Amino acid sequence: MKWLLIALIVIPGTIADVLNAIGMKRNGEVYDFRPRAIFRLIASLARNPYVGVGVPAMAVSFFALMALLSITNLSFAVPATAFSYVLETALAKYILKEHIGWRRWAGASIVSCGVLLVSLGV
Amino acid sequence: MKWKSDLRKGLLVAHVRGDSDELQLTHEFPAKMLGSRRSTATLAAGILKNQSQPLRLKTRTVTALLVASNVLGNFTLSRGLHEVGRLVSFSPWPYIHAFVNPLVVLGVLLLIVWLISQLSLLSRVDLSYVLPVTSVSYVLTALMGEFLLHERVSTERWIGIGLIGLGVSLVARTVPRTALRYHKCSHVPYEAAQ
Repeated sequence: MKWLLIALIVIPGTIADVLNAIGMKRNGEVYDFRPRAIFRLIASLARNPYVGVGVPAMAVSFFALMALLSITNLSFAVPATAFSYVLETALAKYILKEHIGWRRWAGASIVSCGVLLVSLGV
Repeated sequence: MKWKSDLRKGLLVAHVRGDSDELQLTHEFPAKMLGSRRSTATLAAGILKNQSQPLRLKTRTVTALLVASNVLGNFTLSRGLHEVGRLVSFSPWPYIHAFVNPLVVLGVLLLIVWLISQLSLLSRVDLSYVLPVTSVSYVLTALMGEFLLHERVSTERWIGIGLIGLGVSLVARTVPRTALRYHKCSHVPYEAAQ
């Protein structure tokens, strides 16, 4: 059960981030945060297929995390998600064609080590 | 505007080729790129610089909003769910039942703010920039545990907090946007931009 939930956190979470990144870049840049503009944004996102899959995937990942947190403690749940920083950086390079220099690689690796330590040291 | 996207694209290509975050170019280079004189290129670069200043500020603001709503949302939601009790089920009823709790509702509202700010950030900044930078939320969660909930923060946790801070400061110094844009731009003659 635990491992099923971890898979349900990591895999949909990663897919969601990549799809949302693609979808939002196609949708155009968001600058306006007045309520009306946000409603218009939501309306246009509802027709965006990438975000349309990405957000439900995010929800699956989120509810799986909630479920996992209700049966285990934080120190078991969060280390599993630390790995996704490096994984998603690699996906950003190959799928999203982002230019990732040494600073980003080093940053992502150091952050995932830090997340590991923070969650293990509870 | 066409000249802006041309200039950005050119600088991006120079950035990718140079494999460094500092571009050592004279103004002759953007001038060639735009097909204009050096003085025009200087003006164009100045305009671009002035425009990117508030943009960077806005990116920071949205990042702060994202981190705050994430930390507070997770905190209130997990408090609320502790009151509701064990929650592993494939039927939707226990989840719907949980929505009677006010803390759960507040948490969900905060997480909606989080979702919108995350999407708006992703609309203009790299994923490989957003992810590490927003991991500040782990630091804030740990600090909130120490100072608000009076949980003890262990040595490993302090080291982890330091590492996250270091990683974030490394990534935050990179250029936030490196992937090429999809532009819907009108074609304006270069000289008109002056």
